[in-house]
Amino acid sequence: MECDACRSKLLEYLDGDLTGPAQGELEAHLTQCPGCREELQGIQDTLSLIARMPAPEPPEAFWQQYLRELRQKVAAPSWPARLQQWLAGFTRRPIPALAVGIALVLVVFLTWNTLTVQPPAPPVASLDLTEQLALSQDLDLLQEMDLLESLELLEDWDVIESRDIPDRQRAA
Amino acid sequence: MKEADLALIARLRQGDQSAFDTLVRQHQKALFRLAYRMTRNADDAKDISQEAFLRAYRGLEAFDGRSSLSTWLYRITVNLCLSHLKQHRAAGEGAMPENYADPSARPLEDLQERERLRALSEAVAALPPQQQATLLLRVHHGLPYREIAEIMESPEGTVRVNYFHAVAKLRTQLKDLRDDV
Repeated sequence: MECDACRSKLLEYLDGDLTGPAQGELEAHLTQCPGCREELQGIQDTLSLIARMPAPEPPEAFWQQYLRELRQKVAAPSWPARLQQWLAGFTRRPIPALAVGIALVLVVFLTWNTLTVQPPAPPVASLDLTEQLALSQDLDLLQEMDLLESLELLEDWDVIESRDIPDRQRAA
Repeated sequence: MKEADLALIARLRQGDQSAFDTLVRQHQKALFRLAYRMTRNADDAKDISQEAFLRAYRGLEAFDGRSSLSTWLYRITVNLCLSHLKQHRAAGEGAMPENYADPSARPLEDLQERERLRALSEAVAALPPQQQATLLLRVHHGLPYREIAEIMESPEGTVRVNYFHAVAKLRTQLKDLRDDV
């Protein structure tokens, strides 16, 4: 057996995958070749060192906290998961989802329009004659009501009195 | 699949909280260590292994039972680790900083041994992620090639080649280090 062929099979040999005549041939070569024996030893050392690579050994308290956190995560899925589910719903049922989306946009648009746009006041010309006459008879009363509405402070009472006196004189 | 796994899955599907606890306790250390050795960061290892449990729990309905629970959990963890490494390497972070300052770790009396372990850790981190995962599953978790192939979703021959290449690279680098010393 050549050294190259031997070295290409050393890992298989260490794994125990080499059996029968192939194993015998390799072992025969190893007994005669110090270079390949050294290579075999080197691979064994490497594997042994890899196996010794350290990893933390967290205490029991760490694992208890670990499990508690997991239970919470299971009970309350994170927002990306919920968002993902929501988006997945769109891709699974695109047409109903689109219809719902359009309906929502329309509802919002119409509600906004209803709340913000006031109905225009009817033009005076559009009132019929009976309504115009009734309004003209109550014109004084309506003017007084406007005045009362504009009163916000007690000091304005003088204004009323000054207006009230000539009216009484006129009535007398 | 093992009877115990089947029974556990049935309980999980019924929403049995204690079954989830059992699943976690059975596999938490293995998944955490695998994620730690791949990311070399305890916080990332914790996040990744927890995420693996969550994905397994939420994807339970999709689990067809062709592989064992353990294989399935390893597969999820490896995929998460590979994504993590890809993300970090794409961001130009390269091999992540050594994070072996663990007080509970076995004390290393031999300075030369410590130096070799540090060099080995760097060399493992620099391996292509597929080779890295294969090597760790083989050496640290003692899994047969067939099961690693299921985890990696690759043919068994590819797994063997990845393993051989990884060991050969590390052997060469350690040899160079010894020659330098």
